[in-house]
Amino acid sequence: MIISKIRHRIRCFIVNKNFLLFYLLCLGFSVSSQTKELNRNVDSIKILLKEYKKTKESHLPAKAFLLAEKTKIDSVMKKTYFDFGLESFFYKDLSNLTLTKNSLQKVYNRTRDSVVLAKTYYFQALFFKVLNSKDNLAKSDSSFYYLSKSKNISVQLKDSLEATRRLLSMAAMQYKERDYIGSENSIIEGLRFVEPLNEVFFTGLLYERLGNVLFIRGRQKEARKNYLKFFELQKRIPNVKIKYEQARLYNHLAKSYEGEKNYIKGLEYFKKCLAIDSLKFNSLYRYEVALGGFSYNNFMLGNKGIALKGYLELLKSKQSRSYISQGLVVAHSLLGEIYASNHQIKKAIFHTKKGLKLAKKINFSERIQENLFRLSKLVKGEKGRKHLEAHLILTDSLFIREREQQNQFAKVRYETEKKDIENASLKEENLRKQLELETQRQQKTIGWLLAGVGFLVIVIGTSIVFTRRKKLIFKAKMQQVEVREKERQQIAKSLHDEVAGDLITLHLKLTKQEQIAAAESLEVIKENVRNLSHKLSSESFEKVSFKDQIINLISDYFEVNFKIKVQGIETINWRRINDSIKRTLFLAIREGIQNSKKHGEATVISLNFSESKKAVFLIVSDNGKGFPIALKKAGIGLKNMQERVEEINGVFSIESEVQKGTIINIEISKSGQ
Amino acid sequence: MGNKTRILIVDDHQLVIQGILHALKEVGDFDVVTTTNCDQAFELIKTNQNTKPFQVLFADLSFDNVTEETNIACGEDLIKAIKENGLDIKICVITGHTETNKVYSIISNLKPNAYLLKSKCNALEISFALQKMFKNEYYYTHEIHQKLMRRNGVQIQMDAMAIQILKELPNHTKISNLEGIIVKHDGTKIKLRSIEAKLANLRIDLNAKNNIDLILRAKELGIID
Repeated sequence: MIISKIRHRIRCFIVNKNFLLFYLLCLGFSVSSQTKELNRNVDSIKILLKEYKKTKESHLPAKAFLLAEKTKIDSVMKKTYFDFGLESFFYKDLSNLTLTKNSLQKVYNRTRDSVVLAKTYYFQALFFKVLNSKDNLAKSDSSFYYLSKSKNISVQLKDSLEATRRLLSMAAMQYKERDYIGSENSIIEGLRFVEPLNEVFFTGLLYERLGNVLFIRGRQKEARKNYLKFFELQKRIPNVKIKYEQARLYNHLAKSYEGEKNYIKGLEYFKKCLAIDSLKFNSLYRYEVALGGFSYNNFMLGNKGIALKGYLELLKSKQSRSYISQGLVVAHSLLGEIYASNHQIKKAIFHTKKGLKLAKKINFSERIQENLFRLSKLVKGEKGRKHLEAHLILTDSLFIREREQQNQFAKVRYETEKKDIENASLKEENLRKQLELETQRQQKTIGWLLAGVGFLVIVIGTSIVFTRRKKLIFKAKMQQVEVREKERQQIAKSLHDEVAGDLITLHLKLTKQEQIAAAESLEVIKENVRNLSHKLSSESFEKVSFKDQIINLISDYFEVNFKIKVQGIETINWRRINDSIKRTLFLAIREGIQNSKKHGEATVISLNFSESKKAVFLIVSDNGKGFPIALKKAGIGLKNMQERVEEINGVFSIESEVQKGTIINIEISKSGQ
Repeated sequence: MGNKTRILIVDDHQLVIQGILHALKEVGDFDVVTTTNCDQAFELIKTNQNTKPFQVLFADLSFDNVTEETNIACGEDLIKAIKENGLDIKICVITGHTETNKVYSIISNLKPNAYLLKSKCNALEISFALQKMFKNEYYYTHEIHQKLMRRNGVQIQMDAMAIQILKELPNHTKISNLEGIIVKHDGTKIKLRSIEAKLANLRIDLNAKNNIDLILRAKELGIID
């Protein structure tokens, strides 16, 4: 648009130089207004993002997307989609996640940018993740599937950081679903990608996650090593308050010792963590973990009083929050345990039941299991038996589910790989098919072109053949005229030399025998024969030019009472006109003159020559008595004239009216067309 | 014998040869050789050129006894060959051809010294022609002369400037008065010198003694009314 404006301006500029300055100003204004508009749009998108973060109103992303699309700048659009999409994920805003995914899909469809495709899959994965967290029936494998796809694209794009992030998410998901081997694999793959980048944040998280996996699989020493690595990396992240990260490390280490049943060491680290000042206010979660661990380890070491006190505090802390956390369930469960061991059955049952109820709510299977088991011990009789039965069923189902889940992930992993391979082969096939189509199309085009060329060749060929044939025919006709001319010459010669010669001999004899009357009549015959001979004979136009021949011809008929006027004979370059045409014209003129003199009783006859690029024209007109054309059949002379003209593709026409003279029109094409 | 004028006659009709021989006898004592074909005639002229050259050639134009071996098929070709070989001989065409086209072609292209017509000529005319030829003059029999004259007339009649001059000439006492009156077809005036040159040519063409004679002849020929 700007270019067209510029062009327009330039055109105007050419038209009127005086307005140059004005137009330049206009141009400058229009350009600056464009950038201004862009900046305004970007700003309002930023404001919308802030507002969305604050209010979580679900109509805001659509609004922002619209503004982004207005800029028509891909980078702005992509960034907007990413930012809002992530926020939508945090707020579990499913409809906006779908919107983000669809918008990205559109960008991908237009640009075919694989980075966008990877992001599209990522948001699809996030969508399923949210769906999964909202509805436990939905399986996490959909989310895992898309994460895996997204990751594979990033791998192909050699975007290691993106791949690492996806792998981190995948590992977390696998961890959550207890596919620890799978998780470990994902983490190690992630580490392989991220390590050459010398990146600290995600690397750290991967080590921590690896620590978690190893912890749960009972490899505590290795777990601790990874936790330490994680901490080392955390140290290198700028703007991180290291003491709280240290709390994280202590918690991990303590848990790890706890996992080894080394409760003293565990307790020691939990204590260290709790000792970090103002932890409770700055990192409540870590404080709670530490408190929980501290209490649990005390409990395990037999310090039930301390444990109880800790758990009650923990419970209080947890309860202050609106949502049910795992920690809350754990707190209730442990309280149930402590009370049970203290034989405070009522309190034990209360907390166990509470724990069971909450655990069921958030689907925390281990604690459901644990609480059910404890409840079965605490409650006597039929109810207890039922609890035990439920516990056993759950244990069974948990085991099966765990296995299924692991299988599921393995299957997903396998299938994504398989699908990728399939996709690759499909892509290849598609490419091949496209290539085939392309070649077919090309062949088609070539075919059409060839057909067109062929058609043209045929057309040109036929036209060449046609014109050549025409020319040949014309040439042949011309030759025919020449041949006839030769014949005429020979006849003329014979008449002149033989007949006239014999007549002379006879004449001489008759004169000698003094038969004067006979000799005189013979003289007349002799004269006639000679005239006929002269009529038939002709001079070549090489020896005597056409103009001279016409003058000679006129001289033979010109009289004071029969004037012959010639016009335009000098305007034509007769050398370039075919001899046959000239001969035909010559004979036609002679015929015309003879007719006018003999039959027309004309006193003036005029010959008018002219030519165009392609033809020669002759008009022979006289002031004779004329004749009604309709009545009179053309005399032999006129007929011959017409035939001769038409023989060489000429046009012959005659106009005559009684008392108004005669006009003969002749048009002969120079090349026979 | 040595001082006799040598004459060669070439005609395919023996009768015509005899007619000419008969006439020549009346005119004077000549050493006459005859032949009926052009090839032989050419040979005779050529071979005798350095020893006993022919002074005059009487030649017909059309030859009927032409075979495939004939090199020179007609009188025209014979005359052309003589001219091309630079042979010194007076040529008198004696023929039946009277049509202007043929006559003009021969006279303008071959320039024979004389042009006689078989049917009209007699000893007197042959004698006259011979005298003219020996004086290095040209002699065309009356009919031919008339034809050429008429032809000149026709040519003049086609010349717009000549017509203008011929028409205007009687209206002026002095030729110089014509300057400014005679114009080309595009309107440009013609200079006196050009007018005078044109008049001179016209007088020659129409065989006129002076300008008054020229006008009379032009009228006679129908060039002007």
